[in-house]
Amino acid sequence: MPHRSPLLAGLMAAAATALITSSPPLRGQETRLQQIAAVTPSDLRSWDAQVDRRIRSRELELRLEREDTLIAGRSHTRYQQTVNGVPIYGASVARQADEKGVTVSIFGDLYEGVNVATTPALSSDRVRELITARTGVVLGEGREPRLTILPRKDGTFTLVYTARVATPEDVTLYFIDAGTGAIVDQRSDAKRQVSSVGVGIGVLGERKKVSSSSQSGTYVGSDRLRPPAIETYDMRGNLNRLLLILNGFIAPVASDFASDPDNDWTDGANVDAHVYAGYTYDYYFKRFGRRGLDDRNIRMRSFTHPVNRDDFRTASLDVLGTFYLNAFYAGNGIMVYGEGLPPNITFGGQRWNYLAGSLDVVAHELTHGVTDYTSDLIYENESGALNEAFSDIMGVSTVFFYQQPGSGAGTADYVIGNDVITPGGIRSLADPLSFGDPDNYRVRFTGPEDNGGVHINSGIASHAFYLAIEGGTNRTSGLSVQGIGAANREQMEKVFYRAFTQLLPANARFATARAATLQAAQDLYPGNNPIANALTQAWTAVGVN
Amino acid sequence: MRYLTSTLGLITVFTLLGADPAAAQPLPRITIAVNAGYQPSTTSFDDRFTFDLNRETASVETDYPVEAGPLFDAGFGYRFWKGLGAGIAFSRFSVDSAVQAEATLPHPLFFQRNRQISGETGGLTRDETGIHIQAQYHLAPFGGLYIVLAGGPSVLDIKQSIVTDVNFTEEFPFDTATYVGVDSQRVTGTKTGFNVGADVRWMFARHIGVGGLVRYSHATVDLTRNGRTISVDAGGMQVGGGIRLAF
Repeated sequence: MPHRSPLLAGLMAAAATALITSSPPLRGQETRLQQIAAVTPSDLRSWDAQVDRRIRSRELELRLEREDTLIAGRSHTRYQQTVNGVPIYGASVARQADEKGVTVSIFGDLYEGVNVATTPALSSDRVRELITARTGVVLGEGREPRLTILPRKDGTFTLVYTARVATPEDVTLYFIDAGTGAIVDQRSDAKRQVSSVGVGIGVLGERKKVSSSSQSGTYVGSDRLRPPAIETYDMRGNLNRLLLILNGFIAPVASDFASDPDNDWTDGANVDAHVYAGYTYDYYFKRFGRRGLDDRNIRMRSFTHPVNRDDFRTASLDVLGTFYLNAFYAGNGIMVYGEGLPPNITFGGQRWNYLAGSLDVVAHELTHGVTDYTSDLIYENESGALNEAFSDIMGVSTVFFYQQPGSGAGTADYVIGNDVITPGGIRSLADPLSFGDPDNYRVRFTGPEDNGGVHINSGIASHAFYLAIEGGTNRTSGLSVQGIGAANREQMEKVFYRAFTQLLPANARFATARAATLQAAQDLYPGNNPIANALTQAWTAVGVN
Repeated sequence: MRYLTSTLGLITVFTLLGADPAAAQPLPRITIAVNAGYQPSTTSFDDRFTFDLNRETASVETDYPVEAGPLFDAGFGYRFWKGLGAGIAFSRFSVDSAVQAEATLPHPLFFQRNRQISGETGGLTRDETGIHIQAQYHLAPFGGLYIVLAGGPSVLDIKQSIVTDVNFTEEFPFDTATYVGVDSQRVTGTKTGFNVGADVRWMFARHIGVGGLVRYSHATVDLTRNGRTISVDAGGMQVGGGIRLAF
């Protein structure tokens, strides 16, 4: 992709004009790039002679000479192609010789017939001023802009200054026309992981693209395409290490990354944790314009395989409940996904696959992060139930954003976790009672367990969301709701998002949520009676007034 | 069409062989023509290629119009018996055209969510060089007006800028991409075809005059790039006028 932009057009116009008229022609004519890969005797004879001739004519200048550290007696010499002592960007030759000085290989890129004036119209001091005006950075003495000949895509050459400029955002290498002061190219020069697109097979066997990065000869679960760093770490069953990370004693390192040698990912949990984190980021961005959990692109880190599946028989109940049969948001953009159980093992009559394999589970956990950075609903009693409800609401909404409605795996529905916890899933927004959860405020759970029923009572609010979209009848109250219809779900998603992220206080109660969603509807869709009516009917149907 | 035109040209030549124009007025032995002209015919060809992008297959479809353009032509003729002669002509046609490119680009994050981009990029050059070998027949002169009919094989060489890559910009969320331009590379192909035509000259002095040329030449040239072959029509109608020398 090209990186061309005019530099300081207004600021430098007068000076540049004067310089253009007095400067020599700096652009050369079309030429030919010779790409050298000489290893056969005949090629080596020919290129050896050519390289020697160019060294004698000073077209090639010695840049580096090193002994081979792997093969005794071998040496490697690098030459830079120049014109009148000015280097041509990217044009160099590497010659390998044996202990007798006989050339073993020559690789390189050389240009033939380069014709470009090498006297700059601008001084390097002037270029420093341009850089400062452009970036605000004053280059130090050791950062002298360097005169270089830049090969252009159209076969011509431009005499430029190169300057590496470091800002808090990036390190940028600028190519500045030595005649006009215009930036002819710029590129990030920070040495970092290089993004790549891989392919992975998810927990349920479906094929999806994986935004990974190449690092040290392998591919790691580090998404560099999206604005935030989205990273996935494979703990390989090392729970102690995970706990040290979660408690802040150590930080994950490069070797903790989920990785794949050929970018064709086969570990379903790693694939889905990574891919679904990206999907959730995209959903929030596309639907609400939100940039990540904190709206400032905080790093999102997912941890998979916290334990070994086969160790479940010896695991304590706490470990089983937390790291096998659960997924959780651990704060600061960190998610942990449970390992599930071996396929032939059931728990509570259900099979538990890798928890990362369900998009609604992933979106649910990440939404806890959104809540943390917005309303920060206190995780107990009614506010805690609203916290859980909002995660379920956004969880299913994310799924509906990507998948067609249906009842099987890989389709959108109102049941949480049913892709990986089979049969049935763990909660239903459409029918909380089917999981034994109250669907009406009148029958809410009031005991101390589950932090005062944060999961148990979440169905009251999430069922209201369901009714407001799909319509239907609340089984407890018997009251019917005229929903706005699935085709209009985006409106209701926005109403709940606005209410739960911008209007609700930390200790909100169900009644507060009712009022906040109605206010959000009024804010977003003033005068839209169907939305207000659906909301009013839905909250009333679930007993929240 | 190609063979029909050739046949008609040859029939015309051979029908006229019976006449002896030299008997009425002496014909020059050697003629030289230098013309500036125009190739009025427009044509086009298209191309399609694919490449791997984001673990799927991207495709680029290009449409190359070849516009009318200026022509340079020079020829030499030798009459060896009565009205019969032979000649050779050189023509060169060069024009810059804008290519229309449409590309289908796979999404980096999702399967089967292609982005479509399209645009036009100018400056793609077509250079066409023709060497025309001709059997000639000189008609009887009419006053100072001389007419030569000619036909024969042509060797047509094309240097054509072919799109090798499409440039685009994209940014998160990558649901759209923006066409920036194309990369192109000059590709050469040569093929033998045919030519038929006529040259009319008016000699205002013994050895010098002015004249006009009409010629049709054609060949289908295969241009090969990265293992794919594009068949391109070369030649077409050529008209021009210029100086004539006769000896």
